[in-house]
Amino acid sequence: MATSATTQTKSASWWNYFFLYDGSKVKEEGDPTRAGICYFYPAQTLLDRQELLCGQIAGVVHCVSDVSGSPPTLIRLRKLKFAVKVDGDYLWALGCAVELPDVSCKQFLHQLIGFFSFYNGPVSLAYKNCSQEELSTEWDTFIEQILENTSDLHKIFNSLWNLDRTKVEPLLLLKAALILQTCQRSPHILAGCILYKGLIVSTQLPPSLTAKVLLHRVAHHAKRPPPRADVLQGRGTVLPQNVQVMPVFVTKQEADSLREFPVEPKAGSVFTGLCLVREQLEGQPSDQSQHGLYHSSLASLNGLEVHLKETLPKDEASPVNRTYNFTHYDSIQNVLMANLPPVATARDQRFLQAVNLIHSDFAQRPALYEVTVRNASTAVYACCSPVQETYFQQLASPARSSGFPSPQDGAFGLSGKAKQKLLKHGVNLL
Amino acid sequence: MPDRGGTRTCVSVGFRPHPESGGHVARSRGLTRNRGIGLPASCEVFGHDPSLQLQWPRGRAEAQGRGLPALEDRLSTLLAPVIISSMTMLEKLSDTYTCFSTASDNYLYVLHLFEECLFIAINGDHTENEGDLRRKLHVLKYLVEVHFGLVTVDSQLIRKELRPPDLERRNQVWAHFQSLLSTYSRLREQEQCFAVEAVERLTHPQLCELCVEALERHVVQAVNSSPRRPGEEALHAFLLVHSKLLAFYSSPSAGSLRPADLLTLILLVQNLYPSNSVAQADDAQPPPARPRSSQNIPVQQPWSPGSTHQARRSSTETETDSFPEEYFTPAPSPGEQSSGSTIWLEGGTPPSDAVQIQVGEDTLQTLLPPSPAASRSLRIFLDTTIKDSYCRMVPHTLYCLPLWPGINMVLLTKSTSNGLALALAQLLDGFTQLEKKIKEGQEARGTELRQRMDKFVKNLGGQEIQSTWLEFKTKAFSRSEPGSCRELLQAYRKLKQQLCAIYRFSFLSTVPGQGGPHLPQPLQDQAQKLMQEKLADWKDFLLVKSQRNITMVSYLEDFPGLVHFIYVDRTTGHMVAPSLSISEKTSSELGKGPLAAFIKTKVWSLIRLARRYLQKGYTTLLFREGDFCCSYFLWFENEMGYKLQIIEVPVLSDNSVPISVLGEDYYRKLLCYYSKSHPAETVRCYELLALHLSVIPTDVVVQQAGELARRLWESSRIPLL
Repeated sequence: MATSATTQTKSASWWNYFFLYDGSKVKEEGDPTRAGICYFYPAQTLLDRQELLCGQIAGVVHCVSDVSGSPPTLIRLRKLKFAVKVDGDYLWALGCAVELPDVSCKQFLHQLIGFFSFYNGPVSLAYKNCSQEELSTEWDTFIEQILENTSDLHKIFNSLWNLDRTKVEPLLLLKAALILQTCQRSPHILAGCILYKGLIVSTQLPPSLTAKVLLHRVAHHAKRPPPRADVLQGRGTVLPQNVQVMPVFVTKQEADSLREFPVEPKAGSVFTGLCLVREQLEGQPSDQSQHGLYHSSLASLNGLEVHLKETLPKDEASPVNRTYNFTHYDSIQNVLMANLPPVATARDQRFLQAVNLIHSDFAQRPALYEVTVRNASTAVYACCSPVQETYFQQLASPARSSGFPSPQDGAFGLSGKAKQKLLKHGVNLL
Repeated sequence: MPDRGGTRTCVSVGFRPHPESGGHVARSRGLTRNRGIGLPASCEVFGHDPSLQLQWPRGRAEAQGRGLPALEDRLSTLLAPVIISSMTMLEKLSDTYTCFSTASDNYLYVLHLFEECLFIAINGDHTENEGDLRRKLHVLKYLVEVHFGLVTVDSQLIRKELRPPDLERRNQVWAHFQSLLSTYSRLREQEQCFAVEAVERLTHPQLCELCVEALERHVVQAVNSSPRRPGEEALHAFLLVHSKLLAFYSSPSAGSLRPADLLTLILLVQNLYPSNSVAQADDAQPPPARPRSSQNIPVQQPWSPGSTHQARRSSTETETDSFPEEYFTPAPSPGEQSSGSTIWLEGGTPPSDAVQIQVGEDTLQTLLPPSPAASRSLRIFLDTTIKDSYCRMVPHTLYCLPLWPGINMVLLTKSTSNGLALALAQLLDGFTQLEKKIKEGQEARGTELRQRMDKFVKNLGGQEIQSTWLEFKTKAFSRSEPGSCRELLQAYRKLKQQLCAIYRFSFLSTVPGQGGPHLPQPLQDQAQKLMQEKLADWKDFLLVKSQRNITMVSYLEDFPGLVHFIYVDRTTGHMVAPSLSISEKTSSELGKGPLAAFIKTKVWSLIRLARRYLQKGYTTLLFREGDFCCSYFLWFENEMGYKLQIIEVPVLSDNSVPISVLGEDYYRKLLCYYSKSHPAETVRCYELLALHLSVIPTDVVVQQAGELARRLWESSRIPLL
């Protein structure tokens, strides 16, 4: 049975439920459903409701697996949809608002399970080693992090949180890349990334790992030392302040992309975060190299931080006189560039709705490369290539139109406008 | 593990376990944990691809001591937990399942709850998306309504119809709906008109005129003026060449036939006489009709045809024998003898009253051997407008008279005494609204309904209905003894069930040819023979014409780069599109075989995407994919062709009724919605789908689309096309 979490996470209207259910605990006739509930979000959900959802979803998963030979990955209701993942006796389900695209719902679940496993290892191992209460706190923190950092656009793209590069001096980006390259020359350092205020400045890690590291900054800040960290630290001299060494668990795929070694990252929590992933070799003293690395990169990082502080605009709000909305998505790096305000207006919502639809069509139809859609109040143009997707909407009120095909219709001139306007954002559609 | 490579679609219907049926408690795999559930839900399986392969949990079959059970039985057992769970969720969470999908959408389950019937469609080979499956479920539900009328209002009664205890009859019912669904799927996959759900007409003005005249004089008027017409009135008659409409004539007294209903009739005819789209001009043999078992759903007869009177007297179910038919018979319309009109065509030729077919008093009619081109009839229920009032599910009879393979004449009649059906429909509608009020906790008044029901019960004179009505009245209307909401609903359900039972008894137990009204065979034969004579010289031409109704050639010069288009007038429910022939025998400008088939997949994909975006409120869509530029436009005009300002169309959720015409006509609703803001004028709705080569720039694509729409509009204005 899930215990109530210490932190009461702020509920989000689009993220309704999340639970982890262990079917092995509910095998006998008399076993109550609650025995199988490892974690349930939100914790204040009535136990009856928790049991209802866990029991019914688990039952349907079982039934669909029987009929189809594989479990469902999505269970949709009228007002709610569940992304589902099954691993042996374990069942995770994330319940979101129906407005959230199916694919995003599944990605959020994947991401959340990924975060958990990255820091705590496989779920069976984690629940063997740690108490349910401890792990519930972990889940709470991860959910809180995702909710706090997910904008409307992130709900569609599940992209990483990155700096708007158009606002950063290119030399600074180069400098950051150089710092990482220097670190990489140290023995056993595989790759690294530099973060500033929770945004990516530069990264050598694959997107899935960068995402997990990004989340680390707050998740493990000022918290109990992660399991086994004290063991590592106790092995030699004390590490410099602000430096943390943490064992993590990476997937086979991630490991392959980091030269096929089991790795552990080392995070240097200076204001500008530097995170390095180091391979872990048995019996190798590491503190010496860590010290050296820390001192050699500290000066450069401080310099970088000062410059970033100076160059980045403090107020991130978009200019008041926006005449268009755009979103540019780099599907290789999984990063996003957009000019949407933090709080979307009605017209921005129409843009997001169109982006949402078209994005899933781009994902499903590989040959599709250009789309224009229009309703009475707005028109949106979108184009894509194998490496990027771009969406564009003009904010001026559309001229009165009948919807009858007419070349004078502004909707069909959007591609030209997008090409012209987006050049200054470094987006070349020509 | 069975190979699931070829898994296609299956559709099944489950029923909410009846809470009152009590009995043993079912526990199915964790779903009902800690909760008592009624009887395990029953489940019908309608229509599945023979290649459908499903998992069967190991051990179960062996435990039962026999081989693998039939797919239907397996599915019922396998899906029972889902049905129970969806009802549990509805009860506890006020929400229920609409869709499941497995990894990569390899399996897609679409669930739709209609009242108390849960319909489930499963696809396992990516050939159908959620919209397709949901549309299929709505079509199935609609077909059930077409066959059982208002009996569908009561879940217990319709359950009996769909799941008769007699195994042979059950198999017949299931086989019939399986056949209908597969016909629907075939048409949707092969015919453009069914893909966009609009009627396609054969474009041949002279021939059309000739046929309309023949339908008017020699079919509709002949039937309606025949002394042997046994209480039936011919309303509509039309000619089909494959699934295309050649000519249509409506009797002046008939209400208009809705586009969705005409499409449904075409579907029913195609199911009775499946015609392969491949031209069979040299094959003059009439097609073998489907075996009887799949044609009419036999409904249990409460009496044998020979002892009607006696059985009626002893019938305990309802007492319709004392029901005075005249009471409900509308007064003869003064316009009945006025000149004819056609639904589709302006300026049809007025009928001549003088022409009447003399039907011989052939007493030997029943002894005639069934001709190979035997006509078929089907009792169906259609919504209609009678004297300006809208009536739900009025009983009609569909007669299908095959002329040659691929060419059919269709006659739609209704009973001359539809009073009972109308009264029941109005009462049931009234009670449904009353039920809603009761559920919302409002005071149940319904004075008019009460009076109408009083009168109805008095005229009907049955004891059971009288006592049920009295009980309901006491609970609903008495001020001294107001019944609780629950009691009231229970009494209401009982009342509703009895009204439905009267409806069932009156219209479902009297299928044509089995005691119910039936046009005399000689009358049918005469009409069939006459039309065969009229069209004898045209037969081969028509069969070829239906394959090459409109060709792209005539458009290529004016619209360079245009590959294909579909133009739909949603107000009339008509579409115009160049023929897409992919058979080996015939070829179009696109050649034959692979290239044409490729274009076809592009067109179907455009239709799908356009509907998807329309569902989400977008009335214009233009996209480039591979070598093609596809565009879709929806707009409104007034009667004069003046283009009206576009409005926000509703954004619908994924589990709402998909954009479709069969079942629930989206465009009809859209037109009503639009007309609200334009009360002063007649609003018409049009759609254009166009496929261009992707090298054509956007402005040219749009300019051509506009030009094309104008040209098609003008040609549709010419009478008789």
